[in-house]
Amino acid sequence: MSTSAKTDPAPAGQPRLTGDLAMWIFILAELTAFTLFILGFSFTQWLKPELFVEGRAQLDSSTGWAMTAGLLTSGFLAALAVERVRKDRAQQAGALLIGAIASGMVYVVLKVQEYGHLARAGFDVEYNTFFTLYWITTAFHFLHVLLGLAVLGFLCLRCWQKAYGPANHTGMESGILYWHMIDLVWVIIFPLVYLLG
Amino acid sequence: MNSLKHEIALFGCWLVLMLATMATVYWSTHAATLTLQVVAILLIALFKSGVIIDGFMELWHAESKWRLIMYGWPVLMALVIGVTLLTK
Repeated sequence: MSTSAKTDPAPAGQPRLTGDLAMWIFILAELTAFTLFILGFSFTQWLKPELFVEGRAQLDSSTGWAMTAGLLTSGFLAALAVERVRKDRAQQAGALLIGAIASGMVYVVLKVQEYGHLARAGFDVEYNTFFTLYWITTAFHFLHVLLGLAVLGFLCLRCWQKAYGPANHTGMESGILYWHMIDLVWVIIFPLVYLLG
Repeated sequence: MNSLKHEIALFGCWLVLMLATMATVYWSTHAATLTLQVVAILLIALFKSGVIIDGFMELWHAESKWRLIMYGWPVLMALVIGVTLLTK
């Protein structure tokens, strides 16, 4: 996860980039990929606005809100876990990461239920252009959530092993940054897919 | 910023994000016009992105070029979404 074994604290007042530089490059690559999906969704909506209004009416914005709440709460608990590691409380960080995983699972369960409901109602990936883009865009994000949860699980295990501490937490920071990137993307995808228009 | 203050700030970020998400859902059904709905929801999304970038990702103490890049992404996405929704 990290290209440096130790965390080099920047002098007070000096700019410091949290986590590993390689993770930031990876995050920029991921954001570029998500940009293509968002551009595709937006421009197709521009071409067929009525179709998107009809498609969006089949989605439940309150479920979208609950999924957002799950992800944001998970991000908060993960950020707290990083802070606890910096204070040399790795086991507390591990417990917070379990909470972050549980909160992230709220999103997973709700999303799977939504997918099941839509598929049973016949709104599958081939139903129309809106649902093709809905399934592709949200499934791409969903896969990132699953990968992010696996990363959180790995970090949790490492915390219980006391692998991270005040002088060595760059890997932990990098893994959590990936999780925050998933939150950031969802903050844009949620209104685009569920609410606007 | 000491550690306790930082944890309180993180809690503040979470609280603001939850309230902003509720406001987003509210504006999706209560805006008088499409323009108002789109502008309000996208501005809230930009605000939430900023809270995640500076609060959770801790870019507030990074070099300005990194903040510019990371803030640039949600701004660009909001512009594309807003323009495509409001120009037809």
